[in-house]
Amino acid sequence: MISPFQLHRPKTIEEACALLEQYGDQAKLLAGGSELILLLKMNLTSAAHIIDIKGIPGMDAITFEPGSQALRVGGLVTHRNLETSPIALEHFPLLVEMEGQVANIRVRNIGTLGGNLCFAEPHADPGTLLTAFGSRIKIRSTRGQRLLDIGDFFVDYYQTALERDEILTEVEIPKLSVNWSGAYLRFCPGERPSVAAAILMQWADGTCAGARLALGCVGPKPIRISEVESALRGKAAEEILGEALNIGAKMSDACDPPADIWGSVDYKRQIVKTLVSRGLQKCVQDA
Amino acid sequence: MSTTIGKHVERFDAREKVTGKSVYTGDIKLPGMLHGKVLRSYLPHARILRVDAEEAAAMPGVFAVLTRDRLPMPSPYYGSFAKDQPVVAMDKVRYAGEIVAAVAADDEAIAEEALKRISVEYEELPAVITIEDALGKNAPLVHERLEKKPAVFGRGMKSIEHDGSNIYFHVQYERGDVEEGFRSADFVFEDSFFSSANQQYPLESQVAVVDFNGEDFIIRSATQSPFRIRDEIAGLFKLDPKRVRVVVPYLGGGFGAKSVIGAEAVAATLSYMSKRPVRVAFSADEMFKTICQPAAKMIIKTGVKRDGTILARRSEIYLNSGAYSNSVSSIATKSCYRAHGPYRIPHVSTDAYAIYSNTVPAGAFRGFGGHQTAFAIESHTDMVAHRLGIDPVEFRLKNLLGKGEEYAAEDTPIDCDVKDLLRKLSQAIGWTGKGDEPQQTTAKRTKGVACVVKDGGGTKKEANALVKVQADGRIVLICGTVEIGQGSSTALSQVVAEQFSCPAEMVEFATIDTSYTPYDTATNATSGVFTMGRAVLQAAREARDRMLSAAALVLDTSEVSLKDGKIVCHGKTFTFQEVLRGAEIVGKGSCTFGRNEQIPIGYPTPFWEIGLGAAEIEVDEMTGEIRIVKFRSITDVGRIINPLHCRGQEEGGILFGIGQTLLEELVYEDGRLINPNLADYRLPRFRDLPESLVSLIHEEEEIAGSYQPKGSGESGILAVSAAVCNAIHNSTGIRILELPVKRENIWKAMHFTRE
Amino acid sequence: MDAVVIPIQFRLNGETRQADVRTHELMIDFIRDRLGLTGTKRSCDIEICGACTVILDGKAVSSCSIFAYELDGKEITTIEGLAQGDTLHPLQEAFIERGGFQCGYCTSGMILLAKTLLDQKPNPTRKEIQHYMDANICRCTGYQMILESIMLAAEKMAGKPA
Repeated sequence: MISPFQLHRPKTIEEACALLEQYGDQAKLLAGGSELILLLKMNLTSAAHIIDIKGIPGMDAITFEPGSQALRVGGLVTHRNLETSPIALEHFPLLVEMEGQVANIRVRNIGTLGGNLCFAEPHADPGTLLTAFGSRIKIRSTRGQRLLDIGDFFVDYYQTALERDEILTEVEIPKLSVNWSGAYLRFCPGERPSVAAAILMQWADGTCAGARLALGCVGPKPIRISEVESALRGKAAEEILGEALNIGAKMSDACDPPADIWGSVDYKRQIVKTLVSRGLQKCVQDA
Repeated sequence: MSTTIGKHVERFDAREKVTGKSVYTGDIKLPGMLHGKVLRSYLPHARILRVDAEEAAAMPGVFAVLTRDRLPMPSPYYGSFAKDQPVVAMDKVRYAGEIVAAVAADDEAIAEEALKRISVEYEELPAVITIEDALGKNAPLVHERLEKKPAVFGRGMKSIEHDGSNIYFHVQYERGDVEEGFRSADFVFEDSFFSSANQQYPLESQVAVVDFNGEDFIIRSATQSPFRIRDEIAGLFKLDPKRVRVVVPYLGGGFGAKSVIGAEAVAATLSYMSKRPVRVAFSADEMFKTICQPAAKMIIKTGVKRDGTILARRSEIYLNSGAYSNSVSSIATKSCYRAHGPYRIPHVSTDAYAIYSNTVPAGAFRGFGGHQTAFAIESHTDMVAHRLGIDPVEFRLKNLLGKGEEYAAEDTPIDCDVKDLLRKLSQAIGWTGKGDEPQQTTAKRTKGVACVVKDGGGTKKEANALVKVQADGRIVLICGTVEIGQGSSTALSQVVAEQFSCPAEMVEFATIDTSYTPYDTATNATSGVFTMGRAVLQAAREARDRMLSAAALVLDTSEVSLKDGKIVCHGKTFTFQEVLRGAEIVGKGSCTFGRNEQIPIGYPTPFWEIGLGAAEIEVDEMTGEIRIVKFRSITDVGRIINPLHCRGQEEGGILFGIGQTLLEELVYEDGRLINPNLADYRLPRFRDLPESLVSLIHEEEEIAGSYQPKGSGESGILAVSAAVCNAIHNSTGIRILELPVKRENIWKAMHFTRE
Repeated sequence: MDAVVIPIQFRLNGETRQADVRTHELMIDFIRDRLGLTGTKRSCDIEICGACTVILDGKAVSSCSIFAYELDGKEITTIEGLAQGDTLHPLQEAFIERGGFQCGYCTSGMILLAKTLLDQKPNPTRKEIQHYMDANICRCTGYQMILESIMLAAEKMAGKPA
């Protein structure tokens, strides 16, 4: 059962940050609550103070900045908002595709992208794809603002680089230049994804001009395998297609998936190989 | 001309259920009701050294604290086979999740807080988790002593004792001479199978609201067995059963999880101690820790002639009963009786064992072990056929018992043409008859079939019913078949309506209340429509005949008849109320199949529940994922009472079977369940529906006399596992010997086969 | 600490309501225990099964994992709000006609989830229904009859003859 708590509903980010600073360990931020409330119910965490930030204006917008070619997603944007956003669909159809697979629609209706990233659950979808996109995380505190690469934002299982008094306010997702194709694949035998792969490839005259390959759910945080990414540069599409399984094998060798009820280390590696090779096939087909 | 039988009649509970008005046990609030919560052991096997609940008992808002030192009854043990399970753990805990203490408080928050203040000191003991562990040399005993009811069977079946072992029940069935059978055979094949422990997971967990008013217990409970609960609670408190009244609201599913005591014992004890009504509602997590289906190891050995004639079968079935016995001895008995399958086999020897272990207590699960043994038998049947180079369907047709043939000595003969159903099923799935060559990688989609027959209707079941025509003309059906979702209240009411030639809406189904509902063994074993149905039919006929006699008397003529719920006489119609003039009519009916010592199991099988299934599957070679593209099932329901119900039961059963085969598994680590929740225990969802699922409902012309409907609550689940695994074999050459099918194992087997 | 109470105002099944809720009170408990509307059910308690589904500002949500105070300023529909007096909603009628329920425990959530689908997409294909409804679990029906119920409801709502 959840214990009573003092509820705070700040109207500005400054107010929210000040509250975090004031109550420290005793306080938890509440956005959608789809993670926090479960933790509270299961006694895995406690909070004497809950700071509900849903009333803060300006954090629920999805905008595309033509200048920087970046999608800006406010921290309070729900998965469902993204899944149904015409702006997101126009510029980032892969993001829309991924968001539509997160949990179930009831969770997507209230769960926020920001909250999902801050929880840093290793078995989650958004982090993997956003890592492939090279996203950046905007963070605010009473001390100011900072921008972190997503690779630095995720630190470990359920741990991010957020200080105790910081709030994630926005996710910035840079669009790839023209002629790119992508794939997001996940292996989800249970409720949460067991293995995820996000592949983005840029093409120039039928040749790979750049590749981003990210793996998720196979360690404490999503990873990109730069050796494989570099090796793909300059390769022709047909060549990549022919080598898809080998590239998948290289990716699976480069990660260290944990064994659990959904599979042994070997099997998880096989899934990585499968998802990557199928993702590459899709990227080549859509090129 | 039937008025309601075979017709779609709106279910009685329909409007209530789609508007949220249907009342389930957890919706009931009584004045002064307290909330009960329990403390559970974290260790799988441990001696309890000390339980300290003083602080909890002293908390304001706490009205009862139950521990082994604070027991209001002389003996806290209950159980249907053996009184081996205590309301709270006494000398030791026998599984991780066992109840160690309980409190009743003003609200759940206080109750939870009180539990935190109870401290328990344990001395850990070595634990046995698997069947192998429990049978190992020098395995620790889960129960040191056991007092159990003597098992009585008929000719050919007997029980064997194993003192000083974790085997607490061993039943053996023999006919002919298996060794002689094997000697005469051209080939003898033996295969071993395993089927995991699984959770029934009705969406409503166990819950009970009990009110002890100082003299009597009134128990409102989500139970499939109101009379069993009555007798168990009466036994615990040494009361005459009349002093325990069980009332059953709607159930949010049962599937066997509510066949024995769940929350009732704790709630009753807390109410007894506090003298207040107490509600105990188990969470989903707790339901996982209360009951499950037994893990089963099955070894089948068959002797056949070259031409495919089966001569002999020897089977061994080992059931992991968990920490307490529940009804697993009955599952063992049934499994023993079912192991030779619906085949003509002169020489049979089967041993079935119920074994204690330090895991969640096992019990009834939809299929009652029938689906588990079916997986073994029907996989083995395919394996034997392939080894002989005979088409699996042809092999079955050659050996299947025909209609009217004896399943076992003196028992009810097979009541339908199973061979004909198998032929229909083969057509439905498109079986080409060329399926016996295992194809490694080229076949994209392949098929498998399975043919299962199990005893239905309840063994040693007693069903009673009353039909009343009240003075105001309302017809009321009073019987103990619990509405767990299967639509029994409606179907049985249709049986009554048919006798009165009236619309089904004129019949009311009375709330089940052991204070006035006539005795019924329990709602299980697909016994509602058939066994209770016969009791209801008899009661309805008697009431109808009395109604007509009353009409004849009042109207002073013998020319009276029934039409559209009215009495018709010389062209005039009269309502029941007009004819009864303040009187009431009662009709009684009962159905029980008496003991017959000539039958191995001791009692006749009421009817044969038929479950045939065929699957067409696809295998993803890279991930080992199995996709069921097409599934066809066929069952015989004798005569359809309500078409929607039959389909609903059958298809619901099939999805259960898909869960058993591909998705569901209880996983233990360090002696405790690591997946007692839906995040890690995978139930079938919409996405698991085969692309094409058709359930064929067959109506055999007549069985066992004039009342024709059979049940189909457990038929859908029976054939799924073997049908899917046979298809997997036909596609990949891989033979699945363990359920659930693991993608990883498929991938590994394919990966290494190729290299 | 002692429970902290805050006042809320919301629309429940078309009517304006007011209440004082404790901050830590969950929506499902408020609906069932305080409002006495027991049609909403608790099962898995971890947002997976959907038995607790209610419609909040037009969106299907898991009432087992949202605080009651979130009702403030919003519109909630529970199963009790679907029928208009004795007149059932087409979804309710369809579930009856096509056997979309058996034990009924998942039914409230299932019907409300289906309503959010049909409100957004009045003419879904069977595959679209299956994909959308995958959110909720049923242990009794085997799902096919639920799909058929929703397809019938869509026809009814579109005014087509059933």
